[in-house]
Amino acid sequence: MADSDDPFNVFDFTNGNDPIDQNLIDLFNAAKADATTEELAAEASTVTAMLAAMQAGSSNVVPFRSSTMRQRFITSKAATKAAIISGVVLFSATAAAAGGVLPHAVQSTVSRAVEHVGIHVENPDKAAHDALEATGSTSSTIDDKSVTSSTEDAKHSSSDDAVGPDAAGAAKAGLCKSFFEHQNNPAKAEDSVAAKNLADAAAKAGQTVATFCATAATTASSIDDHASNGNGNGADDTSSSVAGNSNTSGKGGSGSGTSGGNHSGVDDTTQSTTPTVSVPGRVDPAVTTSSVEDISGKNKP
Amino acid sequence: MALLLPAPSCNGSSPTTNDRNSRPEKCAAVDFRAVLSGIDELRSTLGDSPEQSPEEAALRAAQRGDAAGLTALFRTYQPRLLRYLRAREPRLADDLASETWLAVAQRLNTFEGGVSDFAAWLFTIARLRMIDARRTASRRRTDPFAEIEGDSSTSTEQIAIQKLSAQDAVNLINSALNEDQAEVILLRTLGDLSVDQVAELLGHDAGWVRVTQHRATKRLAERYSERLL
Repeated sequence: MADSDDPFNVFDFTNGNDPIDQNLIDLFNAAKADATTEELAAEASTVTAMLAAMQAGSSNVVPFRSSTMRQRFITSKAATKAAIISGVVLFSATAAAAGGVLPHAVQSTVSRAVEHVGIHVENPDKAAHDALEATGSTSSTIDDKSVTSSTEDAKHSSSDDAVGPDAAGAAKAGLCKSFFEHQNNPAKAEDSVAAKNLADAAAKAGQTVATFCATAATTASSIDDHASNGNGNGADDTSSSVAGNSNTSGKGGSGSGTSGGNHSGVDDTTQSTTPTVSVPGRVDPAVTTSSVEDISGKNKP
Repeated sequence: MALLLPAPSCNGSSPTTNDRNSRPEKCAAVDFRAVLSGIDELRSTLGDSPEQSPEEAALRAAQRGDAAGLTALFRTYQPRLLRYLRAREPRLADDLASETWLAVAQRLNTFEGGVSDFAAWLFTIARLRMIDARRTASRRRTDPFAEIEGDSSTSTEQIAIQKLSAQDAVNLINSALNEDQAEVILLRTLGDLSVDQVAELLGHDAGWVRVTQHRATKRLAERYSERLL
């Protein structure tokens, strides 16, 4: 086609049937007019930049390509080596774990990891857990926690082995308060370890739970009234002290009534000799138990 | 083949109104001879074949990294490239042209083909850069010059074609046609690209280019016969 050779023949495809208007020819000629100095103002800088780019490119092209290829080769070799080493390490770890020769934490980690792919490897945590369940030991719960790297496992094992609060002792008031609050749903209350402890304590005393808790109810209601005034010492755990007839004091308490849990205040109160009662209303048996343990631990002389 | 070498005004003298009104062939002939002698010198220096056209010699010299060859290429194509970009993307035209030339320099040593292929290659790079710039600008949407849409001062009623500057003529073509038609006409006129080259560049077949070109010229003729004649 002729139109590719001459820009003025771009309309020759009409084969003369549609002759171009002279005005259009002039228009296209004008569009292709000579360059102005403004249009070529960037000539020097552009040509210099082009030369620099070409020189930089020519000096870089061959080494760049060869180094790229070399780099790719080295990279692929390194990747292969890394894959082989990883495979060997993984296989060795699995084999060692299967033999049970790994350290405790590593063994349990490997056991959990390979369990996902269907390989059973002895898990020392699980073994310890099973042993605890078999012996029924409560003191080993702490050991169980210490060797478990997973928080979930720790929670799981501690809840399984929970002995609950002492319903005949310090936690009586709190448990009885919970009992009354859950009277509308006694089945739920009976499900918990604390509720069972309360029922057991009542049975030991030869009373029903309601009767057993009747003595505690009076104290608990007065506690509620006191706490609702916002004058409590801010320690949830002191409810157990009240129930256990311990001497407590508001000396160190600076909390905000029902929600303030201030261990330092509790520490102070347990050391105090002034027999005043100051207890918040909300009692959580589980919290009470752990807090009591903590307090007793901290306050050891 | 279209004349690739620069016009007299390209040699440093500023073009006057009379220069614009004079026939391009006249100017080009003078400039052609002037540059041809330089290319001949270049050819002899580089040992190129005497059968090679001056344009071809300039391209080969530029490929070898010769400053004179690069200058000849720049003088030949920069004005049309700039007009094309200024018509299509006036805000970024100068930057896009510079980027295009740099891209050319970076790959010129691997370029294969003649001067016609070079023109198609140059305008392809420029067009792709322009599309990238538009895409980036549309993503940003914070361009403070977004409202500027080319030179609207050109009025077809007031300006006779013979007195139009090159950029005015390009802008008139661009404003009178739709997107595809303007693209085809400008690439065919300014880039000296063949139908097949335009088809490849725009991603259509040659038939589409011919039809679009036909409609474009018809529309331009109608437009200017109404207003200018």
